[in-house]
Amino acid sequence: MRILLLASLVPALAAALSTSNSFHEALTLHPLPDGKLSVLFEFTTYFASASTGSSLRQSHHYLTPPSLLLPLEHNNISELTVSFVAGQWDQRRSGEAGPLHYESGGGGGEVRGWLRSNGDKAESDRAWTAVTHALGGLFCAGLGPSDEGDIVRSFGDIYPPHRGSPSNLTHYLLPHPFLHLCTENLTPFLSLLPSKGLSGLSSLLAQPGTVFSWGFKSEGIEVIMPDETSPGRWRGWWEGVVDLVPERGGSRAFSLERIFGRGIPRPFPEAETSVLRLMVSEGMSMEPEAPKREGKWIDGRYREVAEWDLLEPGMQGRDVRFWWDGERDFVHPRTLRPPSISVLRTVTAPHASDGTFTIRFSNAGSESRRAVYSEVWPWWVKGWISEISLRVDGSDESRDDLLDSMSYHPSTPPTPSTTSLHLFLTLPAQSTLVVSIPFTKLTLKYTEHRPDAERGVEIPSGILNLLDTIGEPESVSSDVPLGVENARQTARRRIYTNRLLLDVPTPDFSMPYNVIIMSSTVMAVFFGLMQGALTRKWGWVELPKGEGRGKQGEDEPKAGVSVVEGGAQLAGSSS
Amino acid sequence: MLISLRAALLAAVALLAPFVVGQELPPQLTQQVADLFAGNGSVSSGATVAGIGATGGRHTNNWAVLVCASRYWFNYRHMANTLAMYRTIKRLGIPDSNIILMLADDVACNARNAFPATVYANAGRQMDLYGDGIEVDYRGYEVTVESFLRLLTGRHPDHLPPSKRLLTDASSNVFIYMTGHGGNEFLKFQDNEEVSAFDIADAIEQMWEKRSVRADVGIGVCFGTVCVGTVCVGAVCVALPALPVLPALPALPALPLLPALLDVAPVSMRGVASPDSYPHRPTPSVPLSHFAFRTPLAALMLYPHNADVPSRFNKLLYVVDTCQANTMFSKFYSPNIISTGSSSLGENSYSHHHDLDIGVAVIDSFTHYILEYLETLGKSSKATLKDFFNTYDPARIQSHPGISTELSHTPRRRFSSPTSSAEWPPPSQNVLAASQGSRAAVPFSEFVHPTS
Repeated sequence: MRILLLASLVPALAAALSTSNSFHEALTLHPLPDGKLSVLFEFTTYFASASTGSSLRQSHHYLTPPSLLLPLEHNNISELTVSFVAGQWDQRRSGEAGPLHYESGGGGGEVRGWLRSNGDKAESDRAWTAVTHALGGLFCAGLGPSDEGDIVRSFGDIYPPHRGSPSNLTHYLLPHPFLHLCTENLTPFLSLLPSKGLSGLSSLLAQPGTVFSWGFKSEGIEVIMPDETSPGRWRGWWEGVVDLVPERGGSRAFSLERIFGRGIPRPFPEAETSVLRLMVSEGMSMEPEAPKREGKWIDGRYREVAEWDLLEPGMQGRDVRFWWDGERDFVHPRTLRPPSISVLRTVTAPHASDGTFTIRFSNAGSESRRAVYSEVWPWWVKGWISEISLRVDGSDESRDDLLDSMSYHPSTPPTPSTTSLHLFLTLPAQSTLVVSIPFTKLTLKYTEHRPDAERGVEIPSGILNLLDTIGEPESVSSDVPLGVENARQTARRRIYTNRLLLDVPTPDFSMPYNVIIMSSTVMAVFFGLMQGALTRKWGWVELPKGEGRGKQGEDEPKAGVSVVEGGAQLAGSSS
Repeated sequence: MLISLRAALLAAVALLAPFVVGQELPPQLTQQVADLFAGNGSVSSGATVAGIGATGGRHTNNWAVLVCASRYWFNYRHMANTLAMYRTIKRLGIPDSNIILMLADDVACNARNAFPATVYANAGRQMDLYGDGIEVDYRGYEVTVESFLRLLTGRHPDHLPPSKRLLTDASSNVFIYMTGHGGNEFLKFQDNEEVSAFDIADAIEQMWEKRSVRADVGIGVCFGTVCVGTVCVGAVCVALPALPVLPALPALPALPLLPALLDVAPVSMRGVASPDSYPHRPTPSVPLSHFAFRTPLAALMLYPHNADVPSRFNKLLYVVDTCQANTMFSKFYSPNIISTGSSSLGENSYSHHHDLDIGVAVIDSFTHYILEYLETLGKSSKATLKDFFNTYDPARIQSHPGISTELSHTPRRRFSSPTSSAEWPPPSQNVLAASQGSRAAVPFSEFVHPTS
């Protein structure tokens, strides 16, 4: 009986394993009101635990990249996100609070994740350092901490885990605001995908010359490791913003061929789904017509989404064209509808040593919102926390009542460390809250300056974490009209500010050397003169006549003025 | 390969043990096992394979370190130099995993680059050097004098990924190419530090030195045909399960398996073992059987075992393109190095030409003419370094390239590379000048071809 049970279990297990591994890909096109188009590639793989139940240590990888998952598995990672962002997302021009992919981080590079911990902090730290360095090697970018103090640990509430309880997990965040994005980061990204950039939607992405000419770019991966009950998921995304309006003006009409130089690619045979989505904007037409059009709540707005199944036979090689009916020349709109919440951070610095962060939170909605605003600063940015002031734009009245509470984790200068600051705010309806945080820049050590003098140092993006979002409902009653807004019906919980370049006055390190060399020279000349004057005596020296003749042709000093050391020894020859 | 050979042999011995108890082993096997335990590792399975310890002159793999030490957009040509070299050696067969590419800045995705994600080394922009697939191992702020010297000497923190390590051994031929702004005996890195010719010379000497990293000790007891014991590798001790071994073999020391394991362990750990330990002069390896005591029933062994990490290169080709470049290799004192540079003391190295659309100079003169020659080579080329050096034309390069082969004094031996069969140095070839010519006849393939 037992044998029978086992025998029936084995194929069931095998079937479960094969069905739990699946690959999905999607390309989403989102026309923005300012004549640009946001293009988002998403590649999602669901996978069961790669290690088999056998006593021997082994793992099987079918659609998943071992080079990515093995270091994560080895270092007890539960969830991990790596994000690179190049360029700036313009919240006001795009009318969206951030890029289409909600997990895109702030400016530059960023690694964050949850580690399964057994309470041993040193062991968790070691594992985190190891995994970030391993991924840094994988992605051709320095993702690991240059010092242990760079790791930020107070962001667990901002990035809650998808799985498990935070009590036996430890959250780590490692911002690298100076990192950028280039072909060497795209190459490893493509090699992690099962389709490797050869077929399916990834072949559209495998054109560095095309995709890196776009304005805003974001690349990243999000991995949720499998546990006993549920399969794992890893998702890679690549997003860029393309300018649709031709240089000399004209219509925004575009097609896949115009953007990527080729039509719908050969399908990747292992892909379970492969879809092209368009978030339809007003007055848009398309050819071929989408077989499926439906309304969806996306980022606080009820929008129409057209969808093509690229695995349909006959789709390969076809082009999909889009245009706006009757549009001859695109006229840039005079007013753009702002996103319901937008954040703008600037720095004003009257002196080289001091400055003030000014963060403007604009709430265009009709209800006040609750949120946490978080900042991470390097140790040499010393914020004057007691001097934080709040006011609503348009009045000088202090509105400290809008700051509910604050959580402050100071750094420990001058050792490499980070300050993190979380402000619990109320964002009043239809107004702009302005928060000012004065700060002082501490003196950096000689070796801590960037090797490109006078450029300044980037500091990470600020993060506004909305506390009252209710997600994007899947099933919607059919009588919701398109374009309806409800700012809270979004799955976007975090809105990032831009990263900031802080001026750090770089001392001219040659100056101390100049001073040292100059004073040494003065000392040497002075000492030499004095020494000479005190110990030397000038006079005539008579050379014996025989010596000069014997060595003709050589540069022997002949009789003449010469210096006589210790006058007393040659007293006889002096005159 | 060798490890698996040994493992296979061990397994065979372990399996055979119960059947051959009390019998004489075939002399060939006895010899193999004896050789194995004697530490010279030459397993005679048909063809003689030189052992790990005797690989000093063997050439089995090629590595390349390509360094662009300067940043900023107007130094586009230095990035282009390095990437052109990268592309060429990749074409000639060195895989990406064996190339350590250091680029101090990113011109491909620089906002001033009118052709995003591309780097060109010629005015017509015929060939994109950045291409579709590129792996930059150290980039931007990571390119420092410290990281470069650590890369050469192999002293890294444990967590550094393998892609950033130069995992060479005594049978590696290493090609080092450096470009940037330099002067008399220095090369500037980024915008704030320099590496001096002495630093590089010392780092290369450290690469050449054989290192002895740790003593591994095994303690075991044998009862008849079964042994139990402990093997310690560094600070980690592993208990060995009971292993059947060959008893009563007069030619063998007491416990065959333990020393064999000891011998294998450090080899398999090369590159993973903590290389932080400071390298020092080699200590003579104590024969494995030295401390073996035998009693009829039990054997107790103490095996102090020096894990010799062999030198980190077999031969080294150093190419540098910067102002006064020949001073950069003037301080080398380690053997088996051939160096060449773009300009002599007091001379500048000039850029070759610029592209009007890119707006900056795209390649340096010396690198341009080097590549012009290398691009004529194929994977099976028999060309030698002599042929290569003979293409130098100071009038075209606008500076006087230097060649130094005086450090390449080594005993005459034949190459075992499958792609070449040149004798080095050749018996009677006078190449460039009497002082340096004959040793320049190293086949170029030695540095850029994949072998075995």
